[in-house]
Amino acid sequence: MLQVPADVKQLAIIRRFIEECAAAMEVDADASADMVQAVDEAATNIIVHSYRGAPGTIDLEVSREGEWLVVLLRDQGPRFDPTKVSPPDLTLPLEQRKPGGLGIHLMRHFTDRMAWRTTPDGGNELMLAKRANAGSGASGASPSEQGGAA
Amino acid sequence: MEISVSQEQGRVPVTILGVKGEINAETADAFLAAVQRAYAEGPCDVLLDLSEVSYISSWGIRALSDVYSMARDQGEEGRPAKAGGVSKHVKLLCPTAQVRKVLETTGLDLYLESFSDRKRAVASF
Repeated sequence: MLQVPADVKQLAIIRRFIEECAAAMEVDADASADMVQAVDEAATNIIVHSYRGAPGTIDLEVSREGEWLVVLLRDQGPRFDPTKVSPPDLTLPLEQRKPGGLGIHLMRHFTDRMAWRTTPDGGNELMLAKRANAGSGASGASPSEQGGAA
Repeated sequence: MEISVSQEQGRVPVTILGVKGEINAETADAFLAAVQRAYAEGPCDVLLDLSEVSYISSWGIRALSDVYSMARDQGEEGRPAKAGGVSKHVKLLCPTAQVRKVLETTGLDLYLESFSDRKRAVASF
């Protein structure tokens, strides 16, 4: 588990934490890199859009649940469910695209599962899950949203 | 993040911005400011050397999209700026695998052409 101040200067630390956990859990390099990207995007959104410069922390838990690499991000910002955000329309010409939404798009693209819930103390908990190895097929239960800390 | 600026002469003069470090929420504004300074002296052709960009996030992609718009708004002398399509006035050099992946996932690779060879990149303007 890692707890960091909600500060963009912590993003590199967050990425390194995910990389190290993934390596220790024998996750494929590609899956690890994808999860690092997704977590970085999620953490950036928490820092910039949720806390908006106000002091706060982000808690990260990483676990391996069978074939799944699971990351939980928790924050105490205003309630926000990123799974409800519509994906950007990337078929539109660049100059016609509405700003925003790219971070969540990357989170969706680089993970296999994304889920959100509120925590008992009113915070946000985002679950990102990725199949840990290239050989992992579509079979196998999805990770539980509760997760198990590692 | 550090940015170096140099000029090379191909068929036209090309301003090369070498970016070292990350382009993310922390550095995107500084990156854009550097590009704006390059354009401050007038329309120019810009090659962004991304060979030492260790990481890019969606904020970096947004910044590159803004650079695309800046280049489009510069237009060509005497002719209106053409909307859409691959930029003729800003291109990318040696994006790393991570950067390429994010460019492709966001579709920005369709607007900013990438080169793996500096000479060919400069000559392409």
